[in-house]
Amino acid sequence: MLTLRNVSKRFGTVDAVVAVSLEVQAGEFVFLLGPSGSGKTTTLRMIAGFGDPTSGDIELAGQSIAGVPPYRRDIGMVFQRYALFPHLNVWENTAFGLRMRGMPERERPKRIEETLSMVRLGGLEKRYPHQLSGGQQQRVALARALAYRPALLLLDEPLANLDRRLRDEMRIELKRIQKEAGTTMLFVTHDQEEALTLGDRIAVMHDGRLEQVGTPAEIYHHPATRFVASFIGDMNFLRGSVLGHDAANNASDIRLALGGPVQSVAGRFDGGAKLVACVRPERVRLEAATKDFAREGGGYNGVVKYAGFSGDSVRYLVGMPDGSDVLSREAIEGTGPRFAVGQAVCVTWPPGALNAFAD
Amino acid sequence: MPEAVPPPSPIPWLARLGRVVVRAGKSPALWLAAPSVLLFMVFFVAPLGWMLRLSTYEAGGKGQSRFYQTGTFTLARFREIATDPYYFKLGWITVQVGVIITLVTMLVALPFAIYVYRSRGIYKRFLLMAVILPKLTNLLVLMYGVLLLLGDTGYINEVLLGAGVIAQPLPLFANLPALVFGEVLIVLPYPVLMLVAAMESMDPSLEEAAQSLGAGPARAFYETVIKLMVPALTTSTLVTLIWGFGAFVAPTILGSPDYYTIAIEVYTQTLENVNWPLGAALATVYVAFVTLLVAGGLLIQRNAERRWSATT
Amino acid sequence: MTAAGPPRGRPGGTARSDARGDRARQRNHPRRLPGRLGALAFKGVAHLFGLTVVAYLLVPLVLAFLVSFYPGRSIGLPTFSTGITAEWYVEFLNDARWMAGLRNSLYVGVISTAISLVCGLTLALAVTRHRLRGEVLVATVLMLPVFVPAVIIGMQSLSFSYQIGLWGTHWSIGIAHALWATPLVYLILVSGLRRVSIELEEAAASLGANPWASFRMVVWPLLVPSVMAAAVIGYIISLNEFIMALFLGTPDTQTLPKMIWPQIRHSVSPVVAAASSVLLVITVAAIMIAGRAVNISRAIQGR
Repeated sequence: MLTLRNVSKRFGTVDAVVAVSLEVQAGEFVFLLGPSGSGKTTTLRMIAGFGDPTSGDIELAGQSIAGVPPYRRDIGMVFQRYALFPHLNVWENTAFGLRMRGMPERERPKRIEETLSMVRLGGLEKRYPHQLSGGQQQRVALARALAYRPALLLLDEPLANLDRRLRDEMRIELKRIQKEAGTTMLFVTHDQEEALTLGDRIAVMHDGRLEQVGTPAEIYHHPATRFVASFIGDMNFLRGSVLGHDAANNASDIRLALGGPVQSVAGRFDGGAKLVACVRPERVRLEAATKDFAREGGGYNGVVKYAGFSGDSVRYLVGMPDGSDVLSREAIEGTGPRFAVGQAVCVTWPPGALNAFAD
Repeated sequence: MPEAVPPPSPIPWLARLGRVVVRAGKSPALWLAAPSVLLFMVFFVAPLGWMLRLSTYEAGGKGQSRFYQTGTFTLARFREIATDPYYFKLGWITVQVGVIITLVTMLVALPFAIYVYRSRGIYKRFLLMAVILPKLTNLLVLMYGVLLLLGDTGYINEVLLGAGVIAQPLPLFANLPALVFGEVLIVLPYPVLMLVAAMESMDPSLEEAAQSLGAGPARAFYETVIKLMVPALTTSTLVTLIWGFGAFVAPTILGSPDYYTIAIEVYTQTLENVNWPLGAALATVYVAFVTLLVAGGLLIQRNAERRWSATT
Repeated sequence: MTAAGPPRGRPGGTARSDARGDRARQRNHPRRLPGRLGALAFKGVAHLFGLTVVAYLLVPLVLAFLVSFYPGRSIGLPTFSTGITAEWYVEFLNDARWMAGLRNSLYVGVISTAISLVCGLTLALAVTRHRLRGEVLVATVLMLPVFVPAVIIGMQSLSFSYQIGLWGTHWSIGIAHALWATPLVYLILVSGLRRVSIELEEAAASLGANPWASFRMVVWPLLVPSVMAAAVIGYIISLNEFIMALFLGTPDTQTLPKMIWPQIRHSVSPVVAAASSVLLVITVAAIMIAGRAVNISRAIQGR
């Protein structure tokens, strides 16, 4: 449906977007995720038509839209601050796009009613934006952009201005509406939880570049770059060096700076090279330390520095002998944490839990 | 085959100018700005230039050239102004009157602006309305009202005579205080509105912060509000000064010939004596003077800001 | 490592007694009774001052207005014993010359307002929507005519319009007035345009509206209150402007203020008071109507 081919945008001497290539299939819910300044909003605006790429091409439904002004692109857009027309009521706001795109007047009421009931705003047609709550305004913005069933819906951090509870509600609503309408959606956000819970695929951006594109599971469990690994969720980073590589399994053997047994990580690294291995806290298991310090299976000994109770889970911070800390997270069994601060524990993880990046 | 190269333009800067003009022609912003530019250039700048030229004509005689004699050029008018003590006295009076008016205005404007700033709600809106109203009404009506207040048969005298406090009506107009009374009324809204706007744009929590650090209400106010207002104060004083120097209506109606200003002289020469060149010359001198004043004022303001911010 | 550390408390606690703070507070509020009295007295003086200034601002206008109702050939203030009369207004409305003056004033006002609206709106659009550079420069340059005394503008406009053959027309006065009105109209419209956020126009574009449709259906309706306010202000400025009209007016085109001028200087007839009050009433009425209309349209838009 949407193809970006090597799209770049430069403002004066600043490269806001560098060589971004992306394909979005029809009906997909894709997220552009990244911190502020990563170029995600600039990219979205280029797709919308507010600003042309310095180089590269954008195709929508098979046709290049470079140079086509926004009002001639088959898109809809939901803005961060909604941008509802204050002098029009809900009905008229929703009807605006239909008017602009030439839908005959007698067909409009049906479509408007359909759309408004899809976003659950029935009964509020006569209200004006200032008479609506934040969440309701959000829905009107959505209805307005969806009314004419655009090929692609662009959303620019639409939930950023809502409070926590409303945001959670709206997320579920958005997912439902997307499935119902079947519209291809491209959603820009800096909130990784949003992307991980709602997206079919996520494109992680950093400093204008695309770091990784994949499903939430892929991004989470197999981050392709160090940035993605640290940006998404919590992550433990451990220094190490490469001993050799296992060609048959496309893996490399490494030894961590912590010492201990040889670990295996996916990917091919040069022997002797330094790298950074990472493992998710929820895959780190703690065992009570035994007198036997050289445990089979690759455990590392440390002392619990901090045990935080989070209702359904507990987070442990374990201090290791070389001064670094390892974060572990596990569901609570019973009434409280298994280990207390000061307790000696052994830190392990299942084979294959480590990912590594060149240092 | 080599690319066709256009022959070098005989006047390179002309070609560059041409390119700039063509590029400007494509810009919507410049087309939109054109009406205002046109208005300004044709009906403000051009007349200004014309007035300059006018001041170098010989004064008119009869008939066709009753306003000025075409085709002449002389600097006699300026020589007149520079040498005749009458004009020196005129300038000196204008300056004095202007300064007095500015002093009185600012003395009233600053406290009143603070007073307005501190008020709330409907009363504040009423105060702002009261400040703006004289500006929206006819100067003549205003002066007429002042005359009704100060005249021999005016309200004040009627009340005092009726109460038997005085036997003869007090000469409350046709003198300097009446002139100041009237002109300040005309000019006051400008600095008040400018100062109130400056105060409104300040962070209100600055005063509270100062108080939380131990400054009493008056001291906190001085340290935060007053000190931050210095640029607005200098600007509004300058504006008032310019208006004061241009006083016309109040001196005519409420003053006496002893206090006639340059503006009045321009009027007299232009419309009563129909000596356009002289009127134009006076106006030119006046404009030059005010321009120098503004330039000087801006320089002083910039210097003061630099020194002020260095010490505070 | 990207692990959060445990929270750390401050050693020693924060419950130290604040003796120094207490003493400072006592210094600023030494004893309660005179302090409070002083504050009250200060407030009283402040209000006295404020109300005096308000009186200073409003009394002349009120007097000028009241005098127009005094039943008597001379000038005076109507009291309960003298009663009030509207005969001066009747005389004013029946006098062909005064009526001509009023018509001239109204007509010149329309010319001036039209010019200043066109110039002010286009310039405001250029600055806010089309990135005309040097906004501060534009504003300063535009404000120049305001700082040149009306006498000078009158004088130069007189000689210039005589040169180009505009002398003796309503247009010459209207254009001169526009020089003063345009900066204000521009400022009001710029602030009004700024309040219509660019996002609204982007939203309209994303919905399929081309620039003209976007302006017509989104920007303009939201701009109407500002345009009305600007138009009213521009009109009032022209209506009441006297000095330029004095220079540029001829017996055919003289505006009302110009006709009042000789009367005030030499012989004050009560009809002059009526003429002045008519100007005052029109001004106040225009402000109130505009204010009401602005409020209504603002309420509709929920601002």
